[in-house]
Amino acid sequence: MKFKSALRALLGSFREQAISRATDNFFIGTLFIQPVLFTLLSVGIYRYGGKPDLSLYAVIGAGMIGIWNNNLWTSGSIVQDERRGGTLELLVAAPTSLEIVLLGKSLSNAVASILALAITFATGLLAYRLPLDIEQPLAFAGAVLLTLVAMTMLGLLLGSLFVLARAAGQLATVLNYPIFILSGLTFPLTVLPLWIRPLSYSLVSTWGNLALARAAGAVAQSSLWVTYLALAGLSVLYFILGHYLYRLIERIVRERGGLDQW
Amino acid sequence: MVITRLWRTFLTGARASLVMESVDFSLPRLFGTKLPRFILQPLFFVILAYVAGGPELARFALIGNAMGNAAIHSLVNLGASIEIEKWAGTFPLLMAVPANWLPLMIGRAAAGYLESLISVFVTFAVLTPFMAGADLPFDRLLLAMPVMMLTTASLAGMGWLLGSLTLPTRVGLLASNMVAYAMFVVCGLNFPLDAMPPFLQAIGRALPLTHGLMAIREVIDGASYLQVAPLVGLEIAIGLVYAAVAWLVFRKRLNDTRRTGNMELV
Repeated sequence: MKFKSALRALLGSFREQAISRATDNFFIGTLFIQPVLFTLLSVGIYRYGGKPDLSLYAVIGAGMIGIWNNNLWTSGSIVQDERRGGTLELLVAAPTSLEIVLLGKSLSNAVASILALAITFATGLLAYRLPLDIEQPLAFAGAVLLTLVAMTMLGLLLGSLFVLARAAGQLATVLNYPIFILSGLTFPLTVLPLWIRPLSYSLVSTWGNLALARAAGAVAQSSLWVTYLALAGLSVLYFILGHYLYRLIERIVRERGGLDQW
Repeated sequence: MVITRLWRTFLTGARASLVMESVDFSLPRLFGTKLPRFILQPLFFVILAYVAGGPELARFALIGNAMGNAAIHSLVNLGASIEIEKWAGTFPLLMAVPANWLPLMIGRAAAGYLESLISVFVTFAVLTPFMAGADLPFDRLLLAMPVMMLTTASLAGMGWLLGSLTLPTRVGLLASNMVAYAMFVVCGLNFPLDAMPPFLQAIGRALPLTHGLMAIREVIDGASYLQVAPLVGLEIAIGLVYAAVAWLVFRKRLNDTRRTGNMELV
């Protein structure tokens, strides 16, 4: 019974987030326009530079850029939007855990963000006539699924983090490109200095990109199973951190009794 | 007399914009968001270009993306300099005052223009030392500065136009961002214009930045001002066309608002 009501709350928040996002111009821009531009740019650079063999890797990287952007912005602002809308107090007071609501909304964002990948593939196909054959379709679907789960957990973490740190919203505008660089989105990680790579390997975007690229046949190195394991491990880690942060926020706001004062 | 009045109106607008910008330029904002943003985006494209085409293409991308910074800041900030009147509630006042709004709006763009130039300067200052053997001598970069300033000014016309077009909507910031990113594709920032399909080349050539960037590259490569004069002239002409259209659109917005009396709905 408890599971059933939690599932209902999860689906309800999933649907609500999907509706509110569909009317968000910024979301539409980052999901539908930016991936097209990044694909045109990155594939264009490789073709001009005489390395068209890296085009598929660039297409997948541009897709991951879209996925990351969407999750960073939409999931990062879930709690902030509730607070601004005056609904956060109601959600905290409701018998359903706010964490379930956050999870449903993050999942909704992650599912929608996967569209970015389809858009970059379509752009590569239409604009550059790229032969975008996926070497292992099943493994690719598995990589998409695991990336989706990891992004949902990341959304949960970001949603809480953005409430705790007021400047996090500003920080998010700066975080994009360091993440793109560290994750090797559109270019191989080997170009980065060795000392920086441990940081790369702590990011879900790095592993999501590698898993997708490996399954598609865009890269030969790195085992598919290692990428799967890393994605699963990071999902668990993000969930634990997100859960801890959420508990911390809940305790602080109940002690202070002023959610709108954040 | 008229010129003095126009000049004073311009200065009032410039002062207001610089004061507002100074709030934004607090040290935490400067080091926490602005400077990283000036540097990291060009860095991403420079690395990508380096992987794709080696040091030569990386150099090409550095020059292009330094000016890409100017494009983003010009389009976003100057577009916003018009939109901000709406959000700040000063749009009705702007309509009511007897002062000419054109010099005022040009003045209001001063901070945005300055920030665009700073972003270009920071990009070159920080990333050039890492481009060993990229042949980006300081004196050539310095010689290219006036062309960079003119190109950035030319971009302002596009920023104003976007601001005027999107004034009655809520998509101003989004539109400015997306157009700026589209310019990264069609204005020859990361690879030469000739490498693109003809229809994209045609779009690129009709936009500000394209010819100015070509001139900047030539000056850095050793060309004289006289040699790049046709390109610079074209860049200025294109910028003026966009600014003129922006002026017409903004005037229409003001007149429509006066006629319908729906200032609050703009």
